[in-house]
Amino acid sequence: MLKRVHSFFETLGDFAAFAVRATYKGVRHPIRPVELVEQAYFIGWQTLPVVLFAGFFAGLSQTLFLESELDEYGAKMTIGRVLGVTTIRELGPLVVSLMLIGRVGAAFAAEIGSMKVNMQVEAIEALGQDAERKLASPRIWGMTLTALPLVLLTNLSVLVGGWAISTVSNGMFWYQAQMSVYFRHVSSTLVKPFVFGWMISVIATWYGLRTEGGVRGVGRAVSSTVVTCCIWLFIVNALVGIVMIAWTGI
Amino acid sequence: MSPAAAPKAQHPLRDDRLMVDFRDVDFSYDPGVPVISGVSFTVSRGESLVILGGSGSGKSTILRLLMGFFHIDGGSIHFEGRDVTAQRGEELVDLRKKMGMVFQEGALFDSLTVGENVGYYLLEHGMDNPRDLPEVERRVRETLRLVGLEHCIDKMPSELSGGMRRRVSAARTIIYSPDLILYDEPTTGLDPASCENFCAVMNDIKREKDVASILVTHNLEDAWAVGDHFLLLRDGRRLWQGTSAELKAMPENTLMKFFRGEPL
Repeated sequence: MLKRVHSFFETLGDFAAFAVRATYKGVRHPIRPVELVEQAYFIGWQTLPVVLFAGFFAGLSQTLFLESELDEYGAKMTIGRVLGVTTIRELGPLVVSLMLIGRVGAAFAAEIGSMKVNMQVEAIEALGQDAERKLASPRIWGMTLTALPLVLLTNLSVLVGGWAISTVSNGMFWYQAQMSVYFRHVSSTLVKPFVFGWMISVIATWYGLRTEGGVRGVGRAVSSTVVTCCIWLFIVNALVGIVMIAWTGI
Repeated sequence: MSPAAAPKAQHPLRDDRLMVDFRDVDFSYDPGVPVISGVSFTVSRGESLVILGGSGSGKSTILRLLMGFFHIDGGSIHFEGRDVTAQRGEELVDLRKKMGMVFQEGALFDSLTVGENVGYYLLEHGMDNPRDLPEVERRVRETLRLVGLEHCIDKMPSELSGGMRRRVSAARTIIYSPDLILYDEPTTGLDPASCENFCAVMNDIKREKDVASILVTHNLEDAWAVGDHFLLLRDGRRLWQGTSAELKAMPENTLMKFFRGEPL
Protein backbone atom coordinates (compact mmCIF):
# COMPACT_ATOMS: atom_id res chain seq x y z
CA MET A 1 0.00 0.00 0.00
CA LEU A 2 2.76 2.39 1.06
CA LYS A 3 4.65 1.45 -2.09
CA ARG A 4 1.62 2.33 -4.23
CA VAL A 5 1.19 5.71 -2.55
CA HIS A 6 4.89 6.39 -3.03
CA SER A 7 4.66 5.36 -6.68
CA PHE A 8 1.59 7.57 -7.20
CA PHE A 9 3.31 10.66 -5.83
CA GLU A 10 6.48 9.85 -7.75
CA THR A 11 4.46 9.69 -10.99
CA LEU A 12 2.63 12.89 -10.11
CA GLY A 13 5.93 14.64 -9.43
CA ASP A 14 7.38 13.37 -12.69
CA PHE A 15 4.31 14.58 -14.57
CA ALA A 16 4.35 18.03 -12.93
CA ALA A 17 8.07 18.46 -13.60
CA PHE A 18 7.59 17.37 -17.22
CA ALA A 19 4.65 19.76 -17.70
CA VAL A 20 6.66 22.76 -16.51
CA ARG A 21 9.86 21.70 -18.30
CA ALA A 22 8.31 20.91 -21.68
CA THR A 23 6.25 24.11 -21.70
CA TYR A 24 9.22 26.25 -20.64
CA LYS A 25 11.53 24.70 -23.22
CA GLY A 26 9.23 25.99 -25.96
CA VAL A 27 9.91 29.51 -24.68
CA ARG A 28 13.58 29.15 -23.86
CA HIS A 29 14.35 27.71 -27.30
CA PRO A 30 11.56 29.33 -29.27
CA ILE A 31 9.61 26.99 -31.49
CA ARG A 32 10.27 27.68 -35.14
CA PRO A 33 7.31 29.14 -37.07
CA VAL A 34 7.34 26.13 -39.41
CA GLU A 35 6.89 23.75 -36.44
CA LEU A 36 3.97 25.79 -35.12
CA VAL A 37 2.34 25.99 -38.54
CA GLU A 38 2.67 22.20 -38.88
CA GLN A 39 0.99 21.66 -35.53
CA ALA A 40 -1.68 24.30 -36.17
CA TYR A 41 -2.49 22.59 -39.46
CA PHE A 42 -2.85 19.17 -37.84
CA ILE A 43 -4.51 20.29 -34.60
CA GLY A 44 -6.58 23.16 -35.93
CA TRP A 45 -7.30 22.92 -39.61
CA GLN A 46 -7.73 19.15 -39.79
CA THR A 47 -9.86 19.06 -36.64
CA LEU A 48 -12.08 21.94 -37.72
CA PRO A 49 -14.58 19.92 -39.83
CA VAL A 50 -15.02 17.41 -37.01
CA VAL A 51 -15.69 20.00 -34.31
CA LEU A 52 -17.98 22.04 -36.55
CA PHE A 53 -19.97 18.92 -37.38
CA ALA A 54 -20.16 17.84 -33.72
CA GLY A 55 -21.00 21.38 -32.62
CA PHE A 56 -23.79 21.73 -35.15
CA PHE A 57 -25.54 18.56 -34.00
CA ALA A 58 -24.91 19.31 -30.31
CA GLY A 59 -26.66 22.66 -30.80
CA LEU A 60 -29.43 21.02 -32.73
CA SER A 61 -30.19 18.39 -30.08
CA GLN A 62 -29.85 20.88 -27.20
CA THR A 63 -32.37 23.20 -28.81
CA LEU A 64 -34.72 20.35 -29.57
CA PHE A 65 -35.39 19.55 -25.93
CA LEU A 66 -34.59 22.93 -24.32
CA GLU A 67 -37.08 24.76 -26.46
CA SER A 68 -39.99 22.57 -25.38
CA GLU A 69 -38.91 22.83 -21.73
CA LEU A 70 -38.73 26.62 -21.97
CA ASP A 71 -42.09 26.67 -23.71
CA GLU A 72 -43.69 25.22 -20.59
CA TYR A 73 -42.60 28.35 -18.70
CA GLY A 74 -43.56 30.64 -21.57
CA ALA A 75 -39.91 31.47 -22.18
CA LYS A 76 -39.40 29.83 -25.55
CA MET A 77 -38.23 33.06 -27.13
CA THR A 78 -35.15 33.04 -24.86
CA ILE A 79 -33.82 29.85 -26.44
CA GLY A 80 -31.11 31.79 -28.31
CA ARG A 81 -29.82 33.25 -25.06
CA VAL A 82 -30.01 29.98 -23.10
CA LEU A 83 -28.22 28.11 -25.83
CA GLY A 84 -25.70 30.94 -26.19
CA VAL A 85 -24.81 30.98 -22.50
CA THR A 86 -24.50 27.18 -22.19
CA THR A 87 -22.48 27.04 -25.38
CA ILE A 88 -20.10 29.86 -24.62
CA ARG A 89 -19.53 28.82 -21.01
CA GLU A 90 -19.58 25.04 -21.28
CA LEU A 91 -20.63 23.25 -24.42
CA GLY A 92 -18.21 24.82 -26.91
CA PRO A 93 -15.02 24.30 -24.88
CA LEU A 94 -16.12 20.78 -23.87
CA VAL A 95 -17.06 19.64 -27.39
CA VAL A 96 -13.76 20.92 -28.76
CA SER A 97 -11.75 19.39 -25.92
CA LEU A 98 -13.39 15.99 -26.28
CA MET A 99 -12.68 16.05 -30.01
CA LEU A 100 -9.10 17.15 -29.38
CA ILE A 101 -8.64 14.30 -26.90
CA GLY A 102 -9.99 11.69 -29.32
CA ARG A 103 -8.43 12.95 -32.48
CA VAL A 104 -5.25 14.78 -31.53
CA GLY A 105 -4.33 13.64 -28.01
CA ALA A 106 -4.63 9.99 -28.99
CA ALA A 107 -2.57 10.67 -32.13
CA PHE A 108 0.15 12.42 -30.11
CA ALA A 109 0.40 9.51 -27.68
CA ALA A 110 0.42 6.94 -30.49
CA GLU A 111 2.95 8.81 -32.62
CA ILE A 112 5.39 9.59 -29.83
CA GLY A 113 4.80 6.19 -28.22
CA SER A 114 5.65 4.40 -31.47
CA MET A 115 8.78 6.50 -31.80
CA LYS A 116 9.69 5.60 -28.23
CA VAL A 117 9.33 1.83 -28.65
CA ASN A 118 11.15 1.96 -32.00
CA MET A 119 14.04 3.83 -30.34
CA GLN A 120 13.49 6.91 -32.47
CA VAL A 121 13.27 9.02 -29.33
CA GLU A 122 16.66 7.72 -28.23
CA ALA A 123 17.92 8.40 -31.75
CA ILE A 124 16.80 12.03 -31.48
CA GLU A 125 18.73 12.37 -28.23
CA ALA A 126 21.72 10.57 -29.69
CA LEU A 127 21.67 13.12 -32.51
CA GLY A 128 22.20 15.92 -30.02
CA GLN A 129 18.64 17.06 -29.55
CA ASP A 130 16.40 17.33 -26.53
CA ALA A 131 13.49 14.94 -27.19
CA GLU A 132 11.13 16.89 -24.94
CA ARG A 133 11.87 20.12 -26.78
CA LYS A 134 11.67 18.43 -30.17
CA LEU A 135 8.56 16.29 -29.65
CA ALA A 136 6.58 17.72 -26.74
CA SER A 137 7.05 21.51 -26.74
CA PRO A 138 5.76 22.23 -30.29
CA ARG A 139 2.73 20.02 -29.70
CA ILE A 140 1.97 21.63 -26.34
CA TRP A 141 2.24 25.16 -27.67
CA GLY A 142 0.49 24.22 -30.90
CA MET A 143 -2.56 22.87 -29.09
CA THR A 144 -2.59 25.60 -26.43
CA LEU A 145 -2.70 28.30 -29.08
CA THR A 146 -4.97 26.56 -31.58
CA ALA A 147 -7.73 25.54 -29.19
CA LEU A 148 -9.15 29.08 -28.87
CA PRO A 149 -10.06 29.64 -32.55
CA LEU A 150 -11.51 26.13 -32.65
CA VAL A 151 -13.72 26.88 -29.65
CA LEU A 152 -14.88 30.21 -31.08
CA LEU A 153 -15.84 28.63 -34.39
CA THR A 154 -17.49 25.70 -32.62
CA ASN A 155 -19.54 28.07 -30.49
CA LEU A 156 -20.82 29.57 -33.70
CA SER A 157 -21.62 26.18 -35.21
CA VAL A 158 -23.55 25.15 -32.06
CA LEU A 159 -25.65 28.29 -32.38
CA VAL A 160 -26.19 27.65 -36.07
CA GLY A 161 -27.32 24.10 -35.22
CA GLY A 162 -29.76 25.49 -32.65
CA TRP A 163 -31.02 28.15 -35.03
CA ALA A 164 -31.58 25.52 -37.74
CA ILE A 165 -34.10 23.59 -35.60
CA SER A 166 -35.49 26.41 -33.50
CA THR A 167 -39.12 27.43 -34.06
CA VAL A 168 -38.64 31.02 -32.86
CA SER A 169 -38.12 33.71 -35.46
CA ASN A 170 -34.64 34.29 -36.86
CA GLY A 171 -34.51 37.81 -35.50
CA MET A 172 -35.55 36.77 -31.99
CA PHE A 173 -33.13 33.81 -31.94
CA TRP A 174 -30.08 35.86 -32.90
CA TYR A 175 -31.11 38.84 -30.79
CA GLN A 176 -31.35 36.57 -27.75
CA ALA A 177 -28.15 34.81 -28.73
CA GLN A 178 -26.20 38.05 -28.80
CA MET A 179 -27.50 38.82 -25.30
CA SER A 180 -25.32 35.95 -24.08
CA VAL A 181 -22.15 37.66 -25.25
CA TYR A 182 -21.21 39.29 -21.95
CA PHE A 183 -17.75 39.36 -20.46
CA ARG A 184 -18.74 37.08 -17.58
CA HIS A 185 -19.76 34.41 -20.09
CA VAL A 186 -17.18 35.06 -22.77
CA SER A 187 -14.33 35.08 -20.27
CA SER A 188 -14.95 31.34 -19.77
CA THR A 189 -14.69 30.63 -23.46
CA LEU A 190 -11.52 32.68 -23.65
CA VAL A 191 -9.78 31.00 -20.71
CA LYS A 192 -10.87 27.36 -20.98
CA PRO A 193 -9.37 26.59 -24.41
CA PHE A 194 -5.88 27.59 -23.23
CA VAL A 195 -6.22 25.53 -20.04
CA PHE A 196 -7.75 22.49 -21.75
CA GLY A 197 -5.45 22.62 -24.78
CA TRP A 198 -2.38 22.79 -22.57
CA MET A 199 -3.63 20.02 -20.28
CA ILE A 200 -4.54 17.59 -23.08
CA SER A 201 -1.29 18.08 -24.95
CA VAL A 202 0.84 17.74 -21.80
CA ILE A 203 -0.92 14.51 -20.77
CA ALA A 204 -0.71 13.04 -24.29
CA THR A 205 2.98 13.83 -24.82
CA TRP A 206 3.85 12.66 -21.31
CA TYR A 207 2.21 9.29 -21.88
CA GLY A 208 3.82 9.09 -25.32
CA LEU A 209 7.33 9.74 -24.02
CA ARG A 210 6.92 7.19 -21.23
CA THR A 211 5.64 4.40 -23.45
CA GLU A 212 7.23 1.04 -22.80
CA GLY A 213 6.51 -2.52 -23.87
CA GLY A 214 6.23 -2.52 -27.65
CA VAL A 215 2.97 -2.32 -29.58
CA ARG A 216 0.90 -3.21 -26.53
CA GLY A 217 2.58 -0.35 -24.67
CA VAL A 218 1.53 2.06 -27.43
CA GLY A 219 -2.05 0.87 -27.06
CA ARG A 220 -1.85 1.39 -23.31
CA ALA A 221 -0.42 4.88 -23.78
CA VAL A 222 -3.26 5.88 -26.12
CA SER A 223 -5.93 4.41 -23.88
CA SER A 224 -4.44 6.03 -20.76
CA THR A 225 -4.23 9.36 -22.54
CA VAL A 226 -7.89 9.33 -23.53
CA VAL A 227 -9.15 8.16 -20.13
CA THR A 228 -6.93 10.51 -18.10
CA CYS A 229 -7.70 13.50 -20.31
CA CYS A 230 -11.46 12.88 -20.12
CA ILE A 231 -11.45 12.56 -16.35
CA TRP A 232 -9.29 15.62 -15.81
CA LEU A 233 -11.22 17.59 -18.41
CA PHE A 234 -14.40 17.44 -16.33
CA ILE A 235 -12.56 18.05 -13.05
CA VAL A 236 -10.64 21.04 -14.41
CA ASN A 237 -13.75 22.33 -16.19
CA ALA A 238 -15.56 22.43 -12.85
CA LEU A 239 -12.60 24.10 -11.14
CA VAL A 240 -12.23 26.72 -13.87
CA GLY A 241 -15.99 27.29 -13.75
CA ILE A 242 -15.82 27.93 -9.99
CA VAL A 243 -12.87 30.28 -10.37
CA MET A 244 -14.52 32.18 -13.22
CA ILE A 245 -17.76 32.57 -11.29
CA ALA A 246 -15.85 33.79 -8.25
CA TRP A 247 -14.05 36.26 -10.50
CA THR A 248 -16.77 37.51 -12.83
CA GLY A 249 -20.00 36.53 -11.04
CA ILE A 250 -22.78 34.25 -12.34
CA MET B 1 40.59 -17.48 -16.88
CA SER B 2 38.51 -16.74 -13.77
CA PRO B 3 36.92 -13.34 -13.20
CA ALA B 4 39.31 -12.74 -10.32
CA ALA B 5 42.24 -13.23 -12.64
CA ALA B 6 40.91 -10.80 -15.20
CA PRO B 7 43.55 -8.26 -16.14
CA LYS B 8 43.24 -4.74 -14.82
CA ALA B 9 42.20 -2.08 -17.33
CA GLN B 10 45.66 -1.86 -18.85
CA HIS B 11 45.01 -1.12 -22.48
CA PRO B 12 47.94 -0.53 -24.77
CA LEU B 13 46.48 2.87 -25.59
CA ARG B 14 48.06 6.19 -26.18
CA ASP B 15 46.67 8.63 -23.60
CA ASP B 16 46.84 11.68 -25.83
CA ARG B 17 44.23 10.05 -28.05
CA LEU B 18 42.11 8.76 -25.18
CA MET B 19 38.40 9.24 -25.90
CA VAL B 20 36.51 7.14 -23.38
CA ASP B 21 37.45 6.31 -19.82
CA PHE B 22 34.77 4.07 -18.31
CA ARG B 23 35.92 3.31 -14.79
CA ASP B 24 34.50 0.95 -12.13
CA VAL B 25 30.95 1.68 -13.19
CA ASP B 26 28.01 0.26 -11.25
CA PHE B 27 24.47 0.64 -12.49
CA SER B 28 21.04 -0.80 -11.79
CA TYR B 29 17.62 0.00 -13.22
CA ASP B 30 15.93 -1.18 -10.01
CA PRO B 31 17.54 -0.82 -6.59
CA GLY B 32 19.30 -4.00 -5.52
CA VAL B 33 19.35 -5.55 -8.99
CA PRO B 34 22.73 -4.63 -10.48
CA VAL B 35 22.96 -4.59 -14.26
CA ILE B 36 26.56 -3.38 -14.49
CA SER B 37 29.08 -4.06 -11.71
CA GLY B 38 32.55 -2.58 -11.62
CA VAL B 39 33.10 -2.50 -15.37
CA SER B 40 36.10 -0.54 -16.65
CA PHE B 41 37.57 0.08 -20.09
CA THR B 42 39.13 2.79 -22.19
CA VAL B 43 38.91 3.53 -25.90
CA SER B 44 41.18 5.78 -27.96
CA ARG B 45 40.69 7.56 -31.27
CA GLY B 46 40.94 5.27 -34.29
CA GLU B 47 40.36 2.14 -32.22
CA SER B 48 37.40 -0.12 -31.86
CA LEU B 49 36.35 -1.95 -28.77
CA VAL B 50 34.03 -4.93 -29.10
CA ILE B 51 31.84 -5.76 -26.13
CA LEU B 52 30.80 -9.38 -26.35
CA GLY B 53 28.14 -10.91 -24.17
CA GLY B 54 24.95 -12.90 -24.15
CA SER B 55 21.47 -11.44 -23.99
CA GLY B 56 20.88 -9.50 -20.79
CA SER B 57 24.56 -9.21 -19.97
CA GLY B 58 24.33 -5.39 -19.87
CA LYS B 59 26.22 -4.58 -23.07
CA SER B 60 23.60 -2.25 -24.60
CA THR B 61 23.21 -0.58 -21.21
CA ILE B 62 26.89 0.38 -21.35
CA LEU B 63 26.28 2.31 -24.58
CA ARG B 64 23.29 4.09 -23.04
CA LEU B 65 25.35 5.00 -19.99
CA LEU B 66 28.01 6.45 -22.27
CA MET B 67 25.33 8.54 -23.94
CA GLY B 68 24.21 9.77 -20.53
CA PHE B 69 20.69 8.34 -20.86
CA PHE B 70 20.85 7.04 -17.28
CA HIS B 71 22.65 8.03 -14.08
CA ILE B 72 25.21 5.58 -12.75
CA ASP B 73 25.28 4.32 -9.16
CA GLY B 74 29.06 4.32 -8.84
CA GLY B 75 32.31 4.87 -10.74
CA SER B 76 32.92 7.45 -13.45
CA ILE B 77 32.50 7.89 -17.19
CA HIS B 78 34.69 10.38 -19.01
CA PHE B 79 34.44 11.26 -22.67
CA GLU B 80 37.19 13.45 -24.10
CA GLY B 81 38.09 14.38 -20.53
CA ARG B 82 34.57 15.53 -19.63
CA ASP B 83 32.67 13.74 -16.92
CA VAL B 84 29.54 12.43 -18.66
CA THR B 85 27.78 11.75 -15.37
CA ALA B 86 28.20 15.35 -14.23
CA GLN B 87 26.58 16.80 -17.35
CA ARG B 88 22.95 17.91 -17.18
CA GLY B 89 20.44 19.38 -19.61
CA GLU B 90 21.98 21.37 -22.43
CA GLU B 91 25.56 20.43 -21.54
CA LEU B 92 24.66 16.79 -21.99
CA VAL B 93 22.87 17.50 -25.27
CA ASP B 94 26.01 19.29 -26.50
CA LEU B 95 28.23 16.42 -25.40
CA ARG B 96 26.09 13.94 -27.33
CA LYS B 97 26.77 15.90 -30.52
CA LYS B 98 30.30 14.49 -30.38
CA MET B 99 29.00 10.93 -30.19
CA GLY B 100 26.92 8.92 -32.60
CA MET B 101 24.88 5.80 -32.12
CA VAL B 102 23.82 3.20 -34.64
CA PHE B 103 20.78 1.37 -33.31
CA GLN B 104 19.89 -2.29 -33.53
CA GLU B 105 16.98 -1.82 -35.94
CA GLY B 106 18.30 1.42 -37.39
CA ALA B 107 15.77 3.62 -35.54
CA LEU B 108 15.21 5.64 -38.71
CA PHE B 109 12.51 8.30 -38.71
CA ASP B 110 9.68 6.63 -40.61
CA SER B 111 8.11 9.81 -41.92
CA LEU B 112 11.34 11.09 -43.51
CA THR B 113 13.06 9.90 -46.68
CA VAL B 114 16.47 8.28 -46.55
CA GLY B 115 18.07 11.56 -47.61
CA GLU B 116 16.20 13.51 -44.93
CA ASN B 117 17.17 10.93 -42.33
CA VAL B 118 20.83 11.19 -43.24
CA GLY B 119 20.71 14.99 -43.39
CA TYR B 120 18.68 15.22 -40.16
CA TYR B 121 21.57 16.34 -37.95
CA LEU B 122 22.69 19.05 -40.36
CA LEU B 123 19.16 20.35 -40.92
CA GLU B 124 18.37 20.40 -37.21
CA HIS B 125 21.62 22.03 -36.20
CA GLY B 126 21.67 25.21 -38.22
CA MET B 127 21.87 24.20 -41.89
CA ASP B 128 18.17 24.58 -42.68
CA ASN B 129 18.51 27.86 -44.60
CA PRO B 130 17.71 27.56 -48.30
CA ARG B 131 21.27 28.64 -49.16
CA ASP B 132 22.67 25.71 -47.14
CA LEU B 133 20.50 23.06 -48.77
CA PRO B 134 22.82 22.34 -51.75
CA GLU B 135 25.70 21.74 -49.30
CA VAL B 136 23.49 19.48 -47.17
CA GLU B 137 22.49 17.49 -50.25
CA ARG B 138 26.11 17.17 -51.34
CA ARG B 139 27.14 15.84 -47.95
CA VAL B 140 24.15 13.49 -47.80
CA ARG B 141 25.04 12.03 -51.20
CA GLU B 142 28.70 11.73 -50.27
CA THR B 143 27.85 9.92 -47.03
CA LEU B 144 25.33 7.63 -48.68
CA ARG B 145 27.99 6.78 -51.28
CA LEU B 146 30.29 5.69 -48.44
CA VAL B 147 27.69 3.15 -47.28
CA GLY B 148 26.77 2.18 -50.86
CA LEU B 149 23.23 3.56 -50.82
CA GLU B 150 23.35 6.72 -52.91
CA HIS B 151 20.59 5.38 -55.15
CA CYS B 152 18.20 5.18 -52.16
CA ILE B 153 18.24 8.88 -51.31
CA ASP B 154 14.56 9.43 -52.12
CA LYS B 155 13.25 6.16 -50.74
CA MET B 156 11.29 5.84 -47.51
CA PRO B 157 12.75 3.68 -44.72
CA SER B 158 9.86 1.21 -45.13
CA GLU B 159 11.13 0.43 -48.64
CA LEU B 160 14.54 -0.70 -47.39
CA SER B 161 15.76 -4.09 -46.20
CA GLY B 162 17.03 -4.54 -42.64
CA GLY B 163 20.65 -4.28 -43.70
CA MET B 164 20.04 -1.17 -45.76
CA ARG B 165 18.23 0.50 -42.85
CA ARG B 166 21.24 -0.06 -40.62
CA ARG B 167 23.60 1.31 -43.24
CA VAL B 168 21.40 4.41 -43.50
CA SER B 169 21.51 4.64 -39.70
CA ALA B 170 25.31 4.52 -39.89
CA ALA B 171 25.26 7.22 -42.59
CA ARG B 172 22.99 9.39 -40.42
CA THR B 173 25.60 9.12 -37.68
CA ILE B 174 28.80 9.64 -39.62
CA ILE B 175 27.59 12.64 -41.62
CA TYR B 176 28.43 14.95 -38.72
CA SER B 177 31.77 13.29 -38.01
CA PRO B 178 31.33 12.35 -34.35
CA ASP B 179 34.46 11.47 -32.42
CA LEU B 180 32.93 8.27 -31.07
CA ILE B 181 30.48 5.89 -32.74
CA LEU B 182 28.51 3.37 -30.72
CA TYR B 183 27.10 0.38 -32.58
CA ASP B 184 24.30 -1.43 -30.76
CA GLU B 185 24.10 -4.94 -32.27
CA PRO B 186 23.90 -3.52 -35.78
CA THR B 187 23.97 -6.86 -37.56
CA THR B 188 21.46 -8.80 -35.48
CA GLY B 189 19.00 -10.55 -37.76
CA LEU B 190 20.91 -9.84 -40.97
CA ASP B 191 21.96 -12.48 -43.49
CA PRO B 192 25.70 -13.29 -43.70
CA ALA B 193 26.25 -11.17 -46.83
CA SER B 194 24.60 -8.13 -45.21
CA CYS B 195 26.65 -8.69 -42.05
CA GLU B 196 29.85 -8.76 -44.06
CA ASN B 197 28.77 -5.67 -45.93
CA PHE B 198 28.01 -3.81 -42.73
CA CYS B 199 31.32 -4.78 -41.16
CA ALA B 200 33.08 -3.41 -44.23
CA VAL B 201 31.18 -0.16 -43.75
CA MET B 202 32.25 -0.01 -40.09
CA ASN B 203 35.88 -0.55 -41.05
CA ASP B 204 35.66 2.07 -43.82
CA ILE B 205 34.25 4.59 -41.36
CA LYS B 206 36.96 3.86 -38.83
CA ARG B 207 39.69 4.19 -41.43
CA GLU B 208 38.37 7.26 -43.26
CA LYS B 209 37.08 9.25 -40.29
CA ASP B 210 39.64 8.14 -37.68
CA VAL B 211 36.92 7.73 -35.07
CA ALA B 212 36.76 5.62 -31.95
CA SER B 213 34.06 3.02 -31.99
CA ILE B 214 32.42 0.59 -29.62
CA LEU B 215 30.58 -2.37 -31.05
CA VAL B 216 28.18 -4.33 -28.90
CA THR B 217 27.38 -7.72 -30.36
CA HIS B 218 27.07 -11.44 -29.81
CA ASN B 219 28.05 -12.17 -33.39
CA LEU B 220 31.61 -13.53 -33.39
CA GLU B 221 32.27 -12.92 -37.08
CA ASP B 222 31.47 -9.22 -36.68
CA ALA B 223 33.64 -9.08 -33.61
CA TRP B 224 36.67 -10.54 -35.38
CA ALA B 225 36.11 -8.37 -38.44
CA VAL B 226 35.99 -5.10 -36.55
CA GLY B 227 37.55 -5.41 -33.11
CA ASP B 228 40.95 -4.15 -31.96
CA HIS B 229 40.12 -4.78 -28.32
CA PHE B 230 37.62 -7.05 -26.65
CA LEU B 231 35.64 -6.94 -23.46
CA LEU B 232 33.77 -10.09 -22.48
CA LEU B 233 30.81 -9.31 -20.29
CA ARG B 234 28.78 -11.77 -18.26
CA ASP B 235 25.93 -10.77 -15.92
CA GLY B 236 27.11 -7.18 -15.98
CA ARG B 237 30.65 -8.05 -14.91
CA ARG B 238 33.88 -7.91 -16.88
CA LEU B 239 35.02 -11.48 -17.43
CA TRP B 240 37.98 -10.85 -19.66
CA GLN B 241 39.53 -7.92 -21.45
CA GLY B 242 42.36 -7.71 -23.93
CA THR B 243 43.46 -7.19 -27.49
CA SER B 244 42.34 -9.08 -30.54
CA ALA B 245 45.71 -10.85 -30.69
CA GLU B 246 45.46 -11.91 -27.05
CA LEU B 247 41.99 -13.34 -27.59
CA LYS B 248 43.13 -15.20 -30.69
CA ALA B 249 45.98 -16.69 -28.69
CA MET B 250 43.58 -18.23 -26.19
CA PRO B 251 42.35 -21.82 -26.62
CA GLU B 252 40.07 -22.26 -29.62
CA ASN B 253 36.89 -22.96 -27.69
CA THR B 254 37.30 -20.05 -25.23
CA LEU B 255 34.54 -17.93 -26.74
CA MET B 256 32.14 -20.86 -27.02
CA LYS B 257 32.75 -21.60 -23.33
CA PHE B 258 32.12 -17.95 -22.61
CA PHE B 259 28.78 -17.93 -24.42
CA ARG B 260 27.79 -21.22 -22.78
CA GLY B 261 28.32 -19.56 -19.39
CA GLU B 262 31.25 -21.79 -18.41
CA PRO B 263 34.37 -20.52 -16.63
CA LEU B 264 37.10 -19.45 -19.06
